[in-house]
Amino acid sequence: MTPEERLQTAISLGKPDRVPCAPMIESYAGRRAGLSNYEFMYNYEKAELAFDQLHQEYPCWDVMRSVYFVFHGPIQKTIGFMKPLMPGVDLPPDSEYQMLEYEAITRDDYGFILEAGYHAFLNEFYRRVHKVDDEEIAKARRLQLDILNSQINRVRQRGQAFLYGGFTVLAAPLLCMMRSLEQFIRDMYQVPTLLDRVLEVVTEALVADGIACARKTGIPRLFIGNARLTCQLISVPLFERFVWSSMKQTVFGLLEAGITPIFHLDSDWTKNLEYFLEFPPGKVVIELDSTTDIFRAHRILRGHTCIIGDVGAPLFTLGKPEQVREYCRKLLHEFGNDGGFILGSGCHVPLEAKHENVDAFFRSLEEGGWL
Amino acid sequence: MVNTRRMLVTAVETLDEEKVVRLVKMGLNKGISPLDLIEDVHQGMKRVGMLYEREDYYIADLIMASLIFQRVLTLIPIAKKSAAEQKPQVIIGTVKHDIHDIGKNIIIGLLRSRGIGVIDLGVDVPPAVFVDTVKETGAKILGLSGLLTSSYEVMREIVDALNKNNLRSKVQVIIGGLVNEDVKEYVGADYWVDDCSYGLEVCQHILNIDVNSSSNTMAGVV
Repeated sequence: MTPEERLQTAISLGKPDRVPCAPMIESYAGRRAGLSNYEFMYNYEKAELAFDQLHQEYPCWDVMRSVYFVFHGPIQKTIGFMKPLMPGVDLPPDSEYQMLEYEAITRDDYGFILEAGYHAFLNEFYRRVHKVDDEEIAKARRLQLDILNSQINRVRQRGQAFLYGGFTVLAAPLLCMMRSLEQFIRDMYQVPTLLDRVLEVVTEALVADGIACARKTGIPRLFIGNARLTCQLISVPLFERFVWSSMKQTVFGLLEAGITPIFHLDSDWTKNLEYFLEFPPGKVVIELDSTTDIFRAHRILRGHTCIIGDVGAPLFTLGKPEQVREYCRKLLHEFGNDGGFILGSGCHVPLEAKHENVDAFFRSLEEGGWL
Repeated sequence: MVNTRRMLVTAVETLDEEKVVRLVKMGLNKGISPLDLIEDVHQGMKRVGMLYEREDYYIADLIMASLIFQRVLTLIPIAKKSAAEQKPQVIIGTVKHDIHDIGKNIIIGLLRSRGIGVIDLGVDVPPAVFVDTVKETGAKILGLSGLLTSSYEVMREIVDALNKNNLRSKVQVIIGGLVNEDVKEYVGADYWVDDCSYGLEVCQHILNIDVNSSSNTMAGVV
């Protein structure tokens, strides 16, 4: 099977010839190639060379699961959904980038969204948070699409499949990042009806943007960031009202356009896994970050939802190669034969990952990934 | 007056922030002692805690309650003054090179709303500041927060420094963020938490405070 066939088979819950391999490797590849994280984040060509180099070492890495096109330094500094601190600019050159969370928008902005629309608000948000003008915003948007298209081309030249045809964030966590967690919680309690209307308007725009991007790139799959607002934190009624309703609106909107939603589920979703059974089988993918119990996820969603995961950042950083190998083996053994599974990292492979642990990750797939 | 005070307890319990604010202002105008009003707010917080224990409330409800408590403190300056006189029991900060503070701020709010004195060292805090603050205050708990894997090294450095300064046996170290048992072992901490309500429970356990107690009423804001 080609990597793309393997990927599509796993997504549609079939059993490919080998479990697809999709670690989310970004800055680690740069470090492995001897780059500072500043060079990696700000020089796209050098980043691609780092990806090339890592792929040459591990040809079994067949699915590129990258959001570099979103987090590339100049893009993040202009059209990021939060205010970033970038390596070499705001932080030492070898630091991971970080996001500043503060009350960047107020309740008054909800009114602005309803009156002027999400896109007008978003431009205002960029101007306010990143101190940029409309020309810079437009330039960053063009650069983002150029890098995404270029990443896709380079991946194909390497013989890999590219997972995402675009990037978005679910409406509720998006507003939560912009408002700050505490203020967003206040809003859920104090202005629920206003929030309902805003979330519906924002979701509609995000779905339209996602569809447009996936069509431009020709990859009918969309990354959807979704974190924080799970039943680890909020009640079932709040989840259903402010998160689940947007998830349904997003999923059905994308499926109607022939696009596969790929939910990047940061935080603990263990208590919310059953909800995914409401979606059509084989049409939605979830990525787990090692906080959710992946074994429980598999028990609930086996034969229904493709899972990507979930070797966690602490294991990559502090674990021993035997532990990484053992964990990967367990995932491959327990999930692989059922189909609908893609071996991946939980969120990013950290910058500080031990090389021998990354090596163990790939070797375990070579040893136990064939079905 | 009795009616206002009873309504205040219920307004906190039902997380009705605006009603709490109205009732506190009304109480102050009626001449109710600020200490009595704070005690009523704590009674409400205690009920919120019990609802959480019964799993009727979630962490977001605890956060909402602590936001209400913080708002009340802005209305009753005497509470702040009294609290500042108390000895802090917990020191918390996000370690050097890391600026993530959502979890840290939530746990601080929860601790303070339970009347536990906290020193918030902020983010990107150098190891020496943690050590010096433990030395100066004699706080029983040191909370180290970090969401980056690079934080593990810094946390370990702090624990090593506590050892070198003969402070390790005097303080319980809790790490929070992207952590687990392996990270705890590596760092040399006593506890790890990735959930703020559990963090609160651990602190209460260390300080030997009944989970639903409101006896530490005035110690909460430093």
